[in-house]
Amino acid sequence: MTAVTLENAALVALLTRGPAMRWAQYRDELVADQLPSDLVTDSAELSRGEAALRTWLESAKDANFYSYLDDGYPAQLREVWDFPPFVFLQGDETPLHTATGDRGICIVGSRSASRAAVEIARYIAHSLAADGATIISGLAEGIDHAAQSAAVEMGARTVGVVGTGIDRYYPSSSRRLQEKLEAGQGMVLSQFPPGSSPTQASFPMRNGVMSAYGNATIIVEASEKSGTRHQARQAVRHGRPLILAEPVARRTTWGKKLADDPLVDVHVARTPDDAIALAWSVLKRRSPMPVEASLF
Amino acid sequence: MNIPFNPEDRQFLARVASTMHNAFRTASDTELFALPGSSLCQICGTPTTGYTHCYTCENGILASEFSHYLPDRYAFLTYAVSNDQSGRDVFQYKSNGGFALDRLKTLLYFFVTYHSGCFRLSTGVPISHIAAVPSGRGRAGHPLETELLPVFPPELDRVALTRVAAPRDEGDRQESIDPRINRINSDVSGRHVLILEDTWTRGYNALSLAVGLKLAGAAQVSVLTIARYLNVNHQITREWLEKHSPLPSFDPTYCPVTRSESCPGGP
Repeated sequence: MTAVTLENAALVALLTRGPAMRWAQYRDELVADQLPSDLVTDSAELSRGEAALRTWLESAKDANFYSYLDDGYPAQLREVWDFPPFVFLQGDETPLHTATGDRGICIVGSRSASRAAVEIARYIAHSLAADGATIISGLAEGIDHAAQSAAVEMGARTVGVVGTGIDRYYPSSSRRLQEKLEAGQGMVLSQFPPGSSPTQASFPMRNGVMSAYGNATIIVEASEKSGTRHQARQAVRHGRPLILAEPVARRTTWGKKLADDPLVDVHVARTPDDAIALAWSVLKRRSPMPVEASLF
Repeated sequence: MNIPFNPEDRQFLARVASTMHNAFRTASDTELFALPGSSLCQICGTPTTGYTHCYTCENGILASEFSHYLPDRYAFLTYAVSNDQSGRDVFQYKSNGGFALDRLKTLLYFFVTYHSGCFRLSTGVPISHIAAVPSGRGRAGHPLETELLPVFPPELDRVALTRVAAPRDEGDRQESIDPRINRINSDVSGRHVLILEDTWTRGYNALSLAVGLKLAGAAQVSVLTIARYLNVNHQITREWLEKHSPLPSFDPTYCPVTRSESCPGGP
């Protein structure tokens, strides 16, 4: 497998034309039947893209690079309108290539979580993982760490979607957990070039990709200003189901607004078991079929 | 909006309401189809600068040599906006299934449940046949046929079709109305045929089939298109979307046939 293809070199050339990545600018053109090489025809620019890509690969030797055009790219990310142009994956990628794909649930929430919420996150993660769901989270402190370490402790699959380059460990307290995932107890996914530091923009972007990777998101605990609210907003815009623990639905204005809106796919879990049942109902969801005879 | 009473339907509606937006319907709801000053094409619902038809519909459809064989009714269930989830879904349902396919099936479920009789009441003729528009490259087993068509009851006879010619232009696109691209193997004479299409960009694939059915003797042809694709790279479309943003949430009770809050023959 080589990541250095003409299209990938052209894609990286496009993305690195300026100091800031401008994916949104090209995305619409590229989904409408165009390839990156249709937009990058200058050979010097292609070489620049190839060199940039090789530098990335060199800095993340243990990870794999996949653009949205590659077979290794997680298929569920392609479903959302603002899919990332490329990802780096490190760890066990085999579940991505099964018939059902990597079926998982995002369990997210505050970094400064209460002890009760940490226990709830562990309980939900344990139960879902025991029945075969992948536990997806952001490798942050608090709820993320609780859910993902619970999965690791029982030998279940967990995927960490990080807000930095895949070669970085942030926060440093997550380093050991991330290393276990990279070693094959799960997988780490980054949508940023190697070496990327966390920025104010990177975490909301990461939350969008995490929402897209999972079949649903459970928010266990969050405050009014919690970064988790970005994931709630992204999930709704992607049309992905969102499950809110009752205190989130009651005590935050954004949670209350979502919970009170009958036109969004948002569900309120009164108990941890309720959240687990809602998650399974999403994973086993079937499309409606008309039942009554209709006269055409 | 009128929230469906049935609790199960409420759950189904929550899957599509926030990402889908009834075609022809805006929040102000002042731009009802065919009213003077309307800025939506009366055929396809694309924004125009005050004209009753968009450039493509005026020149490629109404002025075509087949203008006497055009469909009797057009209905669109949703706008699909290029830089939003609705726009992604109409491409993705074909390769991934998943949430995108579920949403398109849910839109059709609501059409069958709430509006199955609207083409009949609007034209006075019951629908007896249904035909899925064959894919541009003539591939068999396209999800439009294998996944979406089955939402319609088996009482509607399926029109047997063979795609006999590739599109005139390169790629997947049909560049004009051409009834010869399909061979119709069913007897449709005197019948009312419903055409099912997934996405309308210029409509030539659906219209080539519609004209073919009329030439084969169909008395009525109605076209049901799930999504009218809106490309924000077009300036007129972009300005219209900016003016009407956010588009209202999908309302299954809004009638796609009359393009109003009332179904034909009464509210």
